[in-house]
Amino acid sequence: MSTPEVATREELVRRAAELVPILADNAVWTEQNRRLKDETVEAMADAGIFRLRVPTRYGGHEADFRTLVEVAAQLARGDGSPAWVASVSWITSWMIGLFPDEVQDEVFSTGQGRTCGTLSPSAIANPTDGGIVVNGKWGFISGALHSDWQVVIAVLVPAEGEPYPVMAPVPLSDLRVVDDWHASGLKGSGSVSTVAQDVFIPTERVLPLPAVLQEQYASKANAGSPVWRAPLLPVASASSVGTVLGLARAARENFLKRLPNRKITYTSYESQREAPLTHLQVAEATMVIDRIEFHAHRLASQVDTKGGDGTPWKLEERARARADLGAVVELGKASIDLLASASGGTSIYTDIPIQRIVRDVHAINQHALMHPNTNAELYGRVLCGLEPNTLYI
Amino acid sequence: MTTTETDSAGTQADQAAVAALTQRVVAAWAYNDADAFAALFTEDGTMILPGVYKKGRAAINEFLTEAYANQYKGTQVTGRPLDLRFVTPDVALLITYGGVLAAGESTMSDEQTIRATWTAVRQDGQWKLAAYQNSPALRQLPVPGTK
Repeated sequence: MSTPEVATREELVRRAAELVPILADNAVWTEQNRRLKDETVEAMADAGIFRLRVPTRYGGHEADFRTLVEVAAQLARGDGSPAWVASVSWITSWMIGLFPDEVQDEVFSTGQGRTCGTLSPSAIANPTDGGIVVNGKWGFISGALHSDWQVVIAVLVPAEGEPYPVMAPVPLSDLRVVDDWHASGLKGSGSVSTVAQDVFIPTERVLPLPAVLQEQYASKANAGSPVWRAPLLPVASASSVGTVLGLARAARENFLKRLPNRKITYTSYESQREAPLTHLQVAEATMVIDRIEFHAHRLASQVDTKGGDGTPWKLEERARARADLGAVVELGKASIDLLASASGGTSIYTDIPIQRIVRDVHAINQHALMHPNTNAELYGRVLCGLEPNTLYI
Repeated sequence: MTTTETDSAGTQADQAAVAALTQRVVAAWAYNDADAFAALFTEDGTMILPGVYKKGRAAINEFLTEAYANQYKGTQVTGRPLDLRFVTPDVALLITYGGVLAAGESTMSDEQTIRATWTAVRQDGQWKLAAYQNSPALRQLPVPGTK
């Protein structure tokens, strides 16, 4: 399983690149309908996109993080929403890989094995015979509309002792989807809400989140895989950055494509390409994209390397993983805003990708786990010798 | 050992169990499930909304069934706790802030924003609603004598 890895990455990135025209063609429909088009989902499934983080024994690829970054970056060249949905599926199918192997048999052997979920514990679980009963609602469930399973987080109230969050895969057929995805960015991601009403989950499908966050995993079969030898938050961080890198590259690609035929209206510049301002903007945006690559690749290789050699994660390394994520989304926004500001009045038409790219990257910058300020503060706290002020590290 | 139930904060398990009532309402509402919502009340529980007073689980069920077929069809409910006190180990007061969302709304309109008092009691080991009452959060009744 070690030697074909490089070839596997190239193959997966090539397949993702082949999807770009389909994703780009469907991007306007996707936004208008607030969800991925069935054709998009099928094409992504056929290319194996939803199986990048599924164990090889179920036909998955167990791709490394560097592969995730490059695949998501390709997808986001076509459209940010499907790239985002793919990254959510990678995080949640990885989470399912932490469960006892019999649970994985059940999840990955039935249906398409497509997964979604969130880290927010916005539901309550009560113990019952043989398991727990969950009530509550989760927002922002990207991919719920075409997933078979959602990884839910709920606060379990035990008969004795303090409540604590638990994590459990639940079939989407046990949940109610609330179509409330009316958003300004990642509009096409179909990030609807889901509701659990008295949903029973058997004990074997329930893991305590505090144990998971301390890397106490329940899978025997995945224990030897470098993919699953990593903490949850660095995994979630490294799974998310590719979309932003791809959006920034897409902004630059689209800008340069439109450049030759544009002038700067109401000035004497007949060609925007001749204006020194444009040179400065393109150079700056390109250098910022290089910095995005640096942080995305540093993050990915840190998780890949430590997964490979099994060295434990230090607190500062965990905080830096979050800081790298924050830097990627901040720099992504900076480069995209710069290129958008130079794209002219016609760039606000809905068929011109840059306006959508702007809204997508702004949406990602608002994500609670990704916000640059939150991540920078966390890293700084830890560097100053304070305890982290979050469980999610 | 159950010696932690002496102060007004209640045990963490009881706090969570009372807060779970709100999650059950959110879920029941999403399914427009009058039976599930009404089942959270005690047999003789009361519900007061502006212009509405219902006493007894059956009357509450009847009101909700009608409401889910009409004014609350396709709506969602949302809220967050403001305060939770245990009057006795078996009686809790939960104050919440929230309201009903029309389709397409992610936050309550001013008119729909309410504060609510949930009076929860422990019956046979389960926390039930003895009384629920809400009032508009952002406006008061008109000045007496004005129309």
